[in-house]
Amino acid sequence: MVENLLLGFETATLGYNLLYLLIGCVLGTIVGVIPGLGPSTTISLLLPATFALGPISGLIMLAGVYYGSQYGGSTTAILLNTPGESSAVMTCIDGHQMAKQGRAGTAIMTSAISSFIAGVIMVILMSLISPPLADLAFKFGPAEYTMLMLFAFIGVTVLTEDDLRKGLSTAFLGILLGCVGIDINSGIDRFTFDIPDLLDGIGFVTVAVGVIAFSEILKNLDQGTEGAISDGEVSIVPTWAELKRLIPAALRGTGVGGFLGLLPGGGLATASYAAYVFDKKVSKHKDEFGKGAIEGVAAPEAANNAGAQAGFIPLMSLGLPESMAMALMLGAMMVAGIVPGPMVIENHPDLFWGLVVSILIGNVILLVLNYPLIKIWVQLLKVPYNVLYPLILVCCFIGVYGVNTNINDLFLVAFFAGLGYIFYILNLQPVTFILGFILGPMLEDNFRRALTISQGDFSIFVGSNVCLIILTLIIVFIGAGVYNIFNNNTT
Amino acid sequence: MKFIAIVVGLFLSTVAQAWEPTKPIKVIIPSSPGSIHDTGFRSFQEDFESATGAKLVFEYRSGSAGIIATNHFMTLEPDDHTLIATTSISHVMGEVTNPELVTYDFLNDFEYITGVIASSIVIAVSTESEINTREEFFNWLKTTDTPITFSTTFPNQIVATNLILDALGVDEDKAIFVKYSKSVPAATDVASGKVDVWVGGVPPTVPLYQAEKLKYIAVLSKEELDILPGIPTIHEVIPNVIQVSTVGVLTHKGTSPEVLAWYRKHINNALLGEGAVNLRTNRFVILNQDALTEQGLRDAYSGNRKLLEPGYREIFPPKK
Repeated sequence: MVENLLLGFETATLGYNLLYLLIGCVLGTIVGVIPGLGPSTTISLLLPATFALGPISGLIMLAGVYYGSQYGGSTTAILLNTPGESSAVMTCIDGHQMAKQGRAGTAIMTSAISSFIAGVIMVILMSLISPPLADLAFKFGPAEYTMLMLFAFIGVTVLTEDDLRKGLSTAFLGILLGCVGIDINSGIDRFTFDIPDLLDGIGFVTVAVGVIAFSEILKNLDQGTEGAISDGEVSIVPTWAELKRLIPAALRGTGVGGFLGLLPGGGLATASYAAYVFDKKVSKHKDEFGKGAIEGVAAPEAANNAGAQAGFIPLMSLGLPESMAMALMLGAMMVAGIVPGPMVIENHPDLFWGLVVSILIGNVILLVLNYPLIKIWVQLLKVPYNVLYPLILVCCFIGVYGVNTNINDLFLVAFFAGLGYIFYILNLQPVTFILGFILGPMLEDNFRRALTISQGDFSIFVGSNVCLIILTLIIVFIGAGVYNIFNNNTT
Repeated sequence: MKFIAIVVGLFLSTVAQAWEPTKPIKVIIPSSPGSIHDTGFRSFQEDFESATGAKLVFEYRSGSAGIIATNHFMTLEPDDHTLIATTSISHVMGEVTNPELVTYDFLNDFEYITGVIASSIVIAVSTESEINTREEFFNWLKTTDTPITFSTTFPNQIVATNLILDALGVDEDKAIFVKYSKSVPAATDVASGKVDVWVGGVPPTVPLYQAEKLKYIAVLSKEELDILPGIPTIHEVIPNVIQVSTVGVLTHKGTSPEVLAWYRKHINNALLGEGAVNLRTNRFVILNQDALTEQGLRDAYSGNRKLLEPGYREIFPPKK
């Protein structure tokens, strides 16, 4: 183990590898900041360059872009309530509230510190137990994912602050819109109105940017916001009291995000959402969630970075890419003559250990990089809003258009902007809508797939240890909720 | 006079053949970054650009199994600098599955340049499975009383499976098709034993095969694959079952022969480069030499259509 890590350090600290790592981290941060512009596009643009660099340097750079984008995605989420990445949606909730309270710098620094903690822990796990962790992917099939999604839906009750009916209503609306497109099981198109662009469903970026980012602009315009979001002094470094709250939340987020990041069907957005909900449930400061709780930033940010780095475990150990960005990196390795899988550690130890150590160094670089950048980013809060929002609009439109280079996506995002504004007028939460949009199709797909495999036998949902564990957790959570309601009513 | 005519003729013929691109070449990719189309082009991009000096610019238009991308391609003005990557599965089947959406005739509205890569469909099972050979697989299909689950990510795999079952005299109802939108969870579920059989492309299964989670039973190419020695073909026993998905390069109808010849020459040369060879070797894809011609590619597409259309009609009956 020590020899391997030394080999990794020797590889990763070569001058040119450090340079490419720095380039990747910086590019990833920039890409993460711009709403809608994900790491996949950047990685695909950089692919030709990686062929010239060689597989190790190329992969180090691409990996830097990937997890660097997770650092950057939280910046606009915090400052402008505009998620730069899908995994930063949950950060909007408390992060932006912190910005409004003059704590934008603290929020961004919280995000950086949490991501760093998650990154270090995941590197240690990658070094020690990569193959057994990768095998976790085989424990989860359609039945297990169904139970996991059901468990995740319980989170709607946690996220809904006042009226559960409102939370459920928006969640079900999200589920409904998530059904748009061709149903994989029957081949029938649903709610597409014979529009070809809807056959593959509505893109997540379109929904998130419309419902959260654009509706935030409409809301501010409605309120007549013209001045800066925050004029006063901006704190940057968390206080000791804040650190004492931040670190445990980051550790919990790392656990949740790291676990979900290992699963091919997990997804970073799901990881950050699950971490937020879990932390809200267990935190001693649950009343502060939604109003600027530091845990509300620390947990999802740790989760999305842990999830991003956990994705390298099945990629390198089994050649299973869990996202488009990973698939691109897999393709780059194949073209370079490297086949990811169990033999990669044996046949290409410099590649594997060099990557592991470069992730550790990359997290340090990103933490150090973010500190001076915070002082620049927070200046955005001092820009008069009537100057700022057109810039946000332009960036968001570019990001949305860049996903499919399809002009119709811009009309769709306008529709969702309107929907988000309606949510604001009716005091509904857009986050539960987005949850329904993400989780609904995943739940339906896996549920129907599980029943196809079992030929209609529902016992498949209690047929494995994993299912039973999740079912137990569901019962415990529901039981705790019922108990709380009963307790509140009697007192 | 005769001499002058010869000199002028030679000069004109040289000018006529000396087409070179004057701007970046746009390639429409009908899927997302990281897909087999994208990776296939990336594999020879560097060699192509070094040899020609021309840049390849990729435009991703994913959705609807290539219909969106191809419809978009049809709206573009022919400019000798726009290509589209298509596959013999999705491109040709658009007219069968969604005729109301398709604005092209795959045979007559394009110039076929060359094939880029080809991937055989393969049958695989978990290493925990008791099935080890093609004969045991056939025997199992015929004799088992319980339905068999097949993971599929595209309708052609269902059609291919039904052709096998028909040939063996097995009731098609014995097959339960578990449908996935992505190949990674599909392959993982077969490797973990949750689904019985993988019928799909080779590339997603390669790492699982190397991790000894999957074993190959048979390939659906015409001949055995060099890189899967000892794995027999289905074609050997059931001659009409051949399933190879070829990714080809097409351009606008009416493009001049000089332009087409230029593209064929440089793409085929680039396909012999290190990157393309690595991809073919590492992802177990074959490159049928016949497909590296216009006619070979056209035949591959037509052949797939002819084989698959009846089965597709069952899955996608014409809308009333």
